[in-house]
Amino acid sequence: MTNGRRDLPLDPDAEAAADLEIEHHIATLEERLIAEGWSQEAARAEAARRFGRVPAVRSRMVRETRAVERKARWWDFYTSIPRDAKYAWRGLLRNPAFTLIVVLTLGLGMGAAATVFTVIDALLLRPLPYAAADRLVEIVQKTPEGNALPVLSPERVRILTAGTPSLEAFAYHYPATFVRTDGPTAEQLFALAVSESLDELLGVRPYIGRAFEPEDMLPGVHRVMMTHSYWRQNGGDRAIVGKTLRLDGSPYEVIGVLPENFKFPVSGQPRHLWVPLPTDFVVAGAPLMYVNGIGRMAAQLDTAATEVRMHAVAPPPPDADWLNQYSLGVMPVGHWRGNPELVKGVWLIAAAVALMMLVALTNAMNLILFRGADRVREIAVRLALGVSRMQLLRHILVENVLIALLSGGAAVTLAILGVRAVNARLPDEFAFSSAYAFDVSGRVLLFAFLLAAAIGLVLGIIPGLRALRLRFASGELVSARGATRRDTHVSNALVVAEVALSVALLAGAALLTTSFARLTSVDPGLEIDRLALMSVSLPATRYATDTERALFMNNLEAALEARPEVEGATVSNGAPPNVTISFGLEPQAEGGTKLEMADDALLTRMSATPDFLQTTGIRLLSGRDVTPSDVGTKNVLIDESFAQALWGNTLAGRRFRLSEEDPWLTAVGVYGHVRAMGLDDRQSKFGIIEPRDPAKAGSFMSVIVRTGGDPAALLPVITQVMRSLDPELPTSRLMTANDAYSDTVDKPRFLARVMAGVGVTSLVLAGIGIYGVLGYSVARRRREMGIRMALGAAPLRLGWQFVRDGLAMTVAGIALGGLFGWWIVRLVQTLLFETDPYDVRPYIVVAVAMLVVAAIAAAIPARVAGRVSPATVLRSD
Amino acid sequence: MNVMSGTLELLVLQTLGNGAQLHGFEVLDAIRNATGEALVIEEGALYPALHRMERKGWLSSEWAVSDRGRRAKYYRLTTRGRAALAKQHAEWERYVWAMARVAEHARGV
Repeated sequence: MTNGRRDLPLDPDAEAAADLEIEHHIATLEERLIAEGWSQEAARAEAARRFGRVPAVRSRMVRETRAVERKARWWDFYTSIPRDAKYAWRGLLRNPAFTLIVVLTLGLGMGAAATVFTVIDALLLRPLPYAAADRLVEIVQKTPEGNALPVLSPERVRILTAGTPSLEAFAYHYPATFVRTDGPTAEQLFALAVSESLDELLGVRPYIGRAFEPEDMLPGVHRVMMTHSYWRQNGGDRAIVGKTLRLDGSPYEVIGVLPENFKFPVSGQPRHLWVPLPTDFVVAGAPLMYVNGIGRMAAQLDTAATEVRMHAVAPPPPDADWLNQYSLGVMPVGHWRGNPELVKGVWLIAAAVALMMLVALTNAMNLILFRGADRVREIAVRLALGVSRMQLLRHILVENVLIALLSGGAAVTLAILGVRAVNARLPDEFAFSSAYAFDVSGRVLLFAFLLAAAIGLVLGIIPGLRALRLRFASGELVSARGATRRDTHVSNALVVAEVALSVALLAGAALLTTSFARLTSVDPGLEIDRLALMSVSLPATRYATDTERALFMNNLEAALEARPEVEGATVSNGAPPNVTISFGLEPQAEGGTKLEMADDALLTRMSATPDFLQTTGIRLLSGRDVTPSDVGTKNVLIDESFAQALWGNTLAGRRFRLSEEDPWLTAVGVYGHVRAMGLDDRQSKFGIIEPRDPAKAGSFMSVIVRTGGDPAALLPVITQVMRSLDPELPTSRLMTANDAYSDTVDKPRFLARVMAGVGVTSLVLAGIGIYGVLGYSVARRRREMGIRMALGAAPLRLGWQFVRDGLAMTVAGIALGGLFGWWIVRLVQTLLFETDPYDVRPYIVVAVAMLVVAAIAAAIPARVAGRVSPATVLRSD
Repeated sequence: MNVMSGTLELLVLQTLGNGAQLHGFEVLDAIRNATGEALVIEEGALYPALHRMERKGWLSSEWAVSDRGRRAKYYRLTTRGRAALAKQHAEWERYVWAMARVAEHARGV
């Protein structure tokens, strides 16, 4: 019975179907009766008789069928959604480039926006996560010029602790370092010593265990709280409370763990521990000269009123030294959020990403517009074939919902990846400034998803609906061309705008990249390719005196120099790019006038063993190097720029002093300028190197080691030497000088990379935009092409016409982008290093790159145009 | 012997239970053959029943051209129809068992 069976295209209506079924039955019966020997006529009569009352049966059948159909209509609506989705999916796969580009474009735009929003929100927007954060203030000394000196003497701390009407609550803290030795290797830990009420003041509750109580603040009590991340790093065992850590050689009991993602407001620098700041101000075996204060202003008091009242309670004593010299002042803890450089960097990125998003949206809009126009024809054909408008509408809906979901998914994925990348790459300065971890929140993801999906949906459905609204006469049907002339003008304008935005972004990126390249190629003044650096902090508990510390440092220097890989080692109070600095000085040449030191100018002061120049490769320009016999004299080395400022030349041998209170120093040698604070160092114009007394050493010393080979290979050697001398001492900040200097430019590097990424993405998007517009233009004008070809036009000429259109749009965009770029340049200007912001060369490079991309993007549709076969086109119309 | 309504549905389900796809005439034939013509089913009852069962979602149908070159409506059991078959079959067994007990009782066994 299955022979030749095939689906009939359309179901007959219910009555006809019943008739057909009955007819079939009677005919089959009749056939059988004839086969049994009945005559044809008798068989027909018998068959009809046996079937019985046809109209009655038929009406019962029809009734049942109608019920089936009513149900099926609803059922169909739901059950056909997967089928429609499958159909739509196949449609999208048939045109994978379109689908991919729309999805990626929307995903990229929204994903980048969500990433940037997450960062800005955490850095700048979200209220600080502390109790009554708007009244939380740092308590500082305020100089008459309005500078804040974050220094509170123990006397003033006692007065403030006793209570003042202006402050509702007061607490204090100070950073400390410990060496932990109960692990496999000695570990340097950063701690915050805190007064008892700090947790209450900030409104932070321990994650596990308890916070500090008054009895923990008694001198000699050894208890710690772990930060959540350090606890996690140590296995995250909830039974940690009551265990002990060995810190600086003494046992400390763990009493609690701080909550996850808690960041201290004054500095977000990652810390491992909180320890009590006891009432005798002795932390880690060393008495503190001063601490940092933090408090909450009483309700209804502003900062000025608070300062007046604090001054009344704790005025500076008449003969006070710098510890108590100035009146107390307050600064809202959120003030660092307004750090102009940070804000500028963040907003620059935000602006760039917003522009990229505009480019992306423009693109998506254009592409979908064209596709919608392309589909006019398809829709017309399907309408003519009898597919209902309702059905078509549903197809369009389902297809666009699919695109919307894919775009939303892409947005979410890219947002998650983006925030992950931010966490991996964000410069410390940005990360430390945030009171929040950069976690992409579910709400932001949902928002990105919905936005991408909504845009995809709306942009897709509008052209679809327009196509549906068209009335198709038979003549119109075949020539339905989709987009109107106005559409074409609009999309050409959109592409010009895209190109303009991309050129502007790329110009900004080119400037920042040039600036970064300049920055990394500057001469730091020492041979960083040959050096490894390390900090050593000697705990006061085991290295109490100058002599003990000096003995260790001298042994370390000797042990390092005994290694064959090591060409030389030197010990100093700091190693570039981390050196001791002074400011607010008034240097003066003997017999000369005082130098005006600008507010932001700094003096770097290195105190080093006399082989310092040799080891670091700092050049001696004139005079002589210091020798061991200079120790204890006033003989020093001086930076060439300092010498220039003092005497107008770099001759050695003259005397100067740093301020009126300082003794006269003799510059026995002048050394080549050192960028002592990093590659971008524009502040440390003044610098001196003093010969260090080898019989004395402080608690924090730097070691610089020189090698003939790769300094990275030196790092394990240094660790090994340290361990052999004192296994309980950690190596801190052990790295090559190259890495240390590279870290000083992590912010410009980050900005340059982000801008370059955003710029190149926009370039590609603009290319896609050109491709889309021209591709559509080619498709729309196939008939014209065909006719012109039939009339003998050269294919190359026809193709060229499209390339020309593309290049025209590009040139317009580049010109517009130049104007627009001017604005970007103003934005990045202050972030540039020795780079002329109005240099046209980067702009020219960018313009050429844009033209190349445009030419490629235009060439593809142009080739298609050149290959149009007149016969095919004319026949198809 | 005439077939009680309800029982007819079971018979149709049973007939299509092996996955066959049959038109009305074939269904009728199959039932007649299986019961040795002990059960007489009228066309006037069968067709409305087929349509009713289609409405309940037990059967699906499809128009096709038969091997004799005629357009015919072919019926097939759906998943729901299969479930209905299992359920009705169990009910039928219980019914038969109960009837047998009553009959035995009446005979005084």
